[in-house]
Amino acid sequence: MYEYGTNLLISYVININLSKFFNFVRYCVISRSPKFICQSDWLVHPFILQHKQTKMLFATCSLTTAVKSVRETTWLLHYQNICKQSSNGYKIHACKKTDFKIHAKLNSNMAQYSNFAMGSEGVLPKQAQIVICGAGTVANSVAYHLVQNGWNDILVLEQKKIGSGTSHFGSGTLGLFKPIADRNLIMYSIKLYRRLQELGYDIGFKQIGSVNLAQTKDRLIALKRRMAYHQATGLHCEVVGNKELKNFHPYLRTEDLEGAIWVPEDAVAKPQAICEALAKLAKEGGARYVENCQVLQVLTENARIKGVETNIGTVFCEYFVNSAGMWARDLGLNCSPRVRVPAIPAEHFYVTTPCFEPELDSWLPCVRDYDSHTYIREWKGGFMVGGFELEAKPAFGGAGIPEDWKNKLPQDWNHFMPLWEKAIHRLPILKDVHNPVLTNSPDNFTPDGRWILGETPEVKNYFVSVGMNGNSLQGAGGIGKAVAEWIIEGVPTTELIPFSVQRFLDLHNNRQYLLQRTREVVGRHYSILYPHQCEYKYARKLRCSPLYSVLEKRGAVFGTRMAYERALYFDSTYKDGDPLPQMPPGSFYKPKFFDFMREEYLACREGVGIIDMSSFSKIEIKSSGSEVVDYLQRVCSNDVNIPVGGIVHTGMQNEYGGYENDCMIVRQNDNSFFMVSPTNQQTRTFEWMQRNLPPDHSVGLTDMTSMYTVINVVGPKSRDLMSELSNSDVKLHPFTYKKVNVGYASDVMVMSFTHTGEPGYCLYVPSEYALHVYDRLMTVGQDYGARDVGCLTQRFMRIEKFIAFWAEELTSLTTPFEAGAGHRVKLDKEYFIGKFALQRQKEQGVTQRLVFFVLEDIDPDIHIWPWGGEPLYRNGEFVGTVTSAGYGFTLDKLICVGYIRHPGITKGDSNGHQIVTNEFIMAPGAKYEIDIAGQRFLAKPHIRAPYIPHINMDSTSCRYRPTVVSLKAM
Amino acid sequence: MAIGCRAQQLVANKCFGKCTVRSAEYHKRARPICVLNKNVIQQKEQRIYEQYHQNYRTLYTSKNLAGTPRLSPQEVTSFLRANEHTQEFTTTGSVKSYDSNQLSSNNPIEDTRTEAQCLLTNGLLLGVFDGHGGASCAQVIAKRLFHYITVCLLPPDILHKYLNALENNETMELLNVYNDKVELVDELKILYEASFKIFVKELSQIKGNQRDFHMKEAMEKAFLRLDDDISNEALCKNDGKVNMKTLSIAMSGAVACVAHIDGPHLHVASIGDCQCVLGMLSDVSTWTAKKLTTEHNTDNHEEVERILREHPNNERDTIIKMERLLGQLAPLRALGDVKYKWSKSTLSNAVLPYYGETVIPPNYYTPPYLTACPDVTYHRLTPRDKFLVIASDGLWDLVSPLQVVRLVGEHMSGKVTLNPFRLPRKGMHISDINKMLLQRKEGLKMKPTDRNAATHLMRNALGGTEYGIDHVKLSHLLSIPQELVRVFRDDITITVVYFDSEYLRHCPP
Repeated sequence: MYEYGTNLLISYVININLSKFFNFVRYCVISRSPKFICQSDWLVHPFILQHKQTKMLFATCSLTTAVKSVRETTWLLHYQNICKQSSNGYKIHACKKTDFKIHAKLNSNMAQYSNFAMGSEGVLPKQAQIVICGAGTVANSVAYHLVQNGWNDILVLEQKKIGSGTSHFGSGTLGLFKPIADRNLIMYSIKLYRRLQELGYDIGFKQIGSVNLAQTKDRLIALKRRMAYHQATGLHCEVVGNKELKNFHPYLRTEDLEGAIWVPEDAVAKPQAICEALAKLAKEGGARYVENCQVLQVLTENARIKGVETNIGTVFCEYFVNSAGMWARDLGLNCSPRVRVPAIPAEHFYVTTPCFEPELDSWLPCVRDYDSHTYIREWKGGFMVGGFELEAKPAFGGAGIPEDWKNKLPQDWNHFMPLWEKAIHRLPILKDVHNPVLTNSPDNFTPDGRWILGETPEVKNYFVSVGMNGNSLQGAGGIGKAVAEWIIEGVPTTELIPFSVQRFLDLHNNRQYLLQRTREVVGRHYSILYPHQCEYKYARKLRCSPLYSVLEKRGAVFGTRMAYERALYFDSTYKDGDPLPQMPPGSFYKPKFFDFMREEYLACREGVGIIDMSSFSKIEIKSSGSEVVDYLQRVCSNDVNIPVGGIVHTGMQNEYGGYENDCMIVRQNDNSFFMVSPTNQQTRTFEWMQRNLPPDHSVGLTDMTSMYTVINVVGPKSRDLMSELSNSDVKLHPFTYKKVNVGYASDVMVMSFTHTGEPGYCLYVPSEYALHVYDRLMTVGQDYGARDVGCLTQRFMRIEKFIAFWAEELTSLTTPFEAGAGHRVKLDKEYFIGKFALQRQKEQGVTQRLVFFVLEDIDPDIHIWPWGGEPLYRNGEFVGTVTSAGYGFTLDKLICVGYIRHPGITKGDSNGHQIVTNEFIMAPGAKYEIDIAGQRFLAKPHIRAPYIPHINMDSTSCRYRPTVVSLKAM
Repeated sequence: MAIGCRAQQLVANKCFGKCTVRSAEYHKRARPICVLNKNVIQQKEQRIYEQYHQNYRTLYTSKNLAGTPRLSPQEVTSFLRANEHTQEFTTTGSVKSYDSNQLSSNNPIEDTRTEAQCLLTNGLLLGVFDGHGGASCAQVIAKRLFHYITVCLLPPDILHKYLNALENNETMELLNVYNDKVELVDELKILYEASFKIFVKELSQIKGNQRDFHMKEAMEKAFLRLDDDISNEALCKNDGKVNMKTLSIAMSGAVACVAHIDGPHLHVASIGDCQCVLGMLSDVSTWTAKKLTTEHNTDNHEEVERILREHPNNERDTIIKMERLLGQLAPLRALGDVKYKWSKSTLSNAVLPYYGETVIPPNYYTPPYLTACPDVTYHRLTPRDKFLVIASDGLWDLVSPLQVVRLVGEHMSGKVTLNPFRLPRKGMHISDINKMLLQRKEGLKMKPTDRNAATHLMRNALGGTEYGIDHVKLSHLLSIPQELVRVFRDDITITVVYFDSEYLRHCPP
């Protein structure tokens, strides 16, 4: 990131984004690299120096944070060195002036802070840069990492005592065998805890390893799939047979197992001890803790953090971190505007046994018996048995958290008994245990079972780190680091999209919804999550397209995204009146409903496919003058100043060139645009766009998602169908739109693009007309071979066309050049966010490149399919991971896409050969392989999608050619 | 009386068929070109006809038509159904089945028809040929034209393969011809095979002829080449003697209408006054007719203009006379009919000695006056296109295209009731069954007598009145003696092709 330094700063200054500038300078200068100042020339960059506020800023920022830093002096020394060495007039001038100010301000600050230094910990300061609410393990970890990065004006507020919430519970296990994004954070946690142990804290950290059991073949596949990417990314794990398993854990019953995975790096530690150790270290670093202080209200100003009001006074602050655990949701509501923190506690049980005679080996590995929904570890000479039961119970009967909550944790043996019996089955030794103790340790569960991290879309500088889903210990270390860096940098430094707090809508925060969803989320932690075939059972039918009921009657099987019900596929054998079609049991092989998907594909390829895409987010962007054009030009990397009636596909980039959004922009008028972006972007993109709005309120954003029903009409006969329905010429140029009448409905926006890559139209129908238009499409469309098509087929089709998609290929850490969408970046236009980074990347080349792979030797009928997340090898070296995969109907092959890097990068050594060129990817000697559940298959790389015969919408203009009958007989 | 009016009309409009010169000489000199002296079509009808006249000989007087005893309904039906043919296709494709039928007026019948499946390329060919000035030309064309069309459709590599097979006397069939009852005499067969081989050879020598394949060009080439071959074969002398067989073929003529159907692609090539009409069912369940051909006769203004344009101005008044070409020929395009194509000297040398002075048409200055170049139209079949009717003018003289489409349409829905009721699937609701039965009841009203749509059309064309089929009228028209029958009705040939809507719904574009 230092490479971007100069450009980035300039962009901040130009944007007058002072707070970013402020943070950045502070961050670079103090925490990371004083050398940066000496080496780089940004100080004397005319841009910086010409700007009046720069010097002031520079001084101020260095002051406020550097005050107590140990590095302060070194930094000042360095600084003075520059002054001495430099012969540059500007520099001397600048430095002298700053120097003076530093001293002046330093003195005054010192005076101010000394007041607190003397005061006891119970006294609430008047202000702090960052206020963290909660003093659980996660909160302490955030504080600790902020301190580590040199930010030490931190105030941690705890309503009772440090670690008095749910942090002292927990199994204390640290399991690395998780999805990759989770694992990266947990891996860091382990590293951190090991260091704590080395520092002499008694946290009981032991890398005892774990065995992950598979009772079924599918489970073994699931585990092997996980193992494949773990192995590739440096986590040691291996498959062990039943006999070896006995060596690892002599008490296990192994006869009924299909196999197991041994993960030696998994560890255990004492949650309470770590919680306290982190708090202690944070305190030592300068963070102040105030206990018995309850945050009543979070104060905001212009949707930005201003301070917090507590039962013992008000504190003004710049940042606020909500790590209040079980209380986080309610705390979120005590803010104006309200902040969504959709997580509520569920009862979570574990059983501890008395010490065995003789005492158990304390190095017994942890056992995860997924199919029994239990985990078992050694605990003080006995066992601890915990469970993630299939049907969980929200804690405290679903009501709020009572004051004396610790006394209201009933031991529900009836509830836990089935799991306990399964545990006895697995460990027969447990049968003889007398007086096992059942502990009810509620913890926060989120609607999708993933952590909730990051800056809230509602309030700027309001960060959230909650939703530990039963084990706060394992995530805490990594989460603390990630959130701390996010605060400091303003953007996430690692892949955190799956955990972003911006993945929610208001509905997710509905208590009723959460209560329903929590029941199954707990158990899902140990369920086999079949790719695209593991939909939620509860809290469904929440957001529905106007066509929902009709599609349901036509055999649709639904899945949710952003709580929006989307038809995954259509069971064409379904007859109205039969019980509704259900998704068959999941599979890692060919999906059981695959034949329906092929029918759907054929409709799109030969007739007309009708896809309901209403869930896509739609935003209208307007201004009275031409401000909207300037605004969009600044946030979009493509040229959006297109003629009225045009449509342009563009990305919205962050300063690093990474994607913040991938969208279609439609110009409705000179000063009115319509934006369409993926379903799960609804909150996130709105927030991003709002944040970048010009401060004078000249441009307005409106979320129009529910106003339109979106129907894709795809396929070669779509034009004929549309012209019959609209009685008008729908021969549109690509990427234009026209308002036409369809059936009796008027003003339907017909856009000439589809989300499948096939020719066709995208209809934006005012929702009240939706049923009518759909009915006409289907009735008249019958003669054009019209068929409902689900989004799974659409997904496969877009993968085959090599269309990169949001949150899979396009993330905040990937750029258009890397994703092969460089043609959509217009570097010759005026400044836009990310321009400098992209310019630089264009000159230097990319370090990763999205590549399309055809899996030639996989038989889709026999082998396990790739589904995404599989590691890719080039000549035996790990070079990337599959982002999405599917079946290419036209190619009749399984296909996947993924980013390819130089093997060196993933190994960690940067030897200058990091640029990925087409020659590197397509080198004749390069042999690519994909690891699917432990088996490697050849993958043929393509920089562009393989040629697929174009299908033509102009059925009448295509010339007839006689086709030859196969001449086999001759 | 209806028949009387119709007769007058026919006499006034048509006189005697397409060709006014119907000298008896033709028939005397014409050599049989078929192995069977009279073709099968004629025989069947003849038998029924003779049977009838034997029975009623005493009562029959040509002067008093009204007094002719009526045919019984059974006799009418067997008369009409004599040449019925229905072909069902089980392979997937746009054509479900076709019905065809012929009814003769001339003796021998001058209409011919062929239906055949192409074997080397995909496609079904269906043709109706209406001969004039004798049946021989139409008979030959029915046998030969499809071969010419098929080879024109072959891509170069397949064409070469085919040529090799021809040269090595291997069998490589081009066509699978349905319902073919006519066999040519050996002499002609050998001659035609030779001509065809030359054509194939020439075709294969054209480089890249497939690269810019156009159906129109292919069809035109096939028609024109066959016409040339017929013409050349007539002039070709064997041992200094004129081959009277080939000459008579070339001297007679034929109009043609050929449909080529491959999936949703329908091409129609037509010369003369046969017509091809598409029956379409709109989404409000009404039938519409779409004519895919324009007749080449004097009603066709463009066609008249074309001919006038091709000849000097001073011939303007003589080329088209009495709505006929040179006052003689009704269709303005035709195969054969060399006496409107050859130069005057060729005619005088080759034909005059055998056919007499009258063979050279009046005002014959700048031949050729006649071409065999077809109009080719393309139609992409949609699921709303339910059937195609190809018929000779014998039908179109009696009923309009829309009437034809309605008749076939009604027949389609009525035909359902000819089969016993069967539940299409198990576990049906009683309401669904009720719906089906009601539909059937509706169809019952239209329950046709004939299963074959072509027969149905004939019956209605001949016997149809505002009140339904008039048996009296029908029986009269069918029992007119041979000498007079041509005045009241022409030869009728009908082919009705049914399309598979389900296939057309889902077939690739």
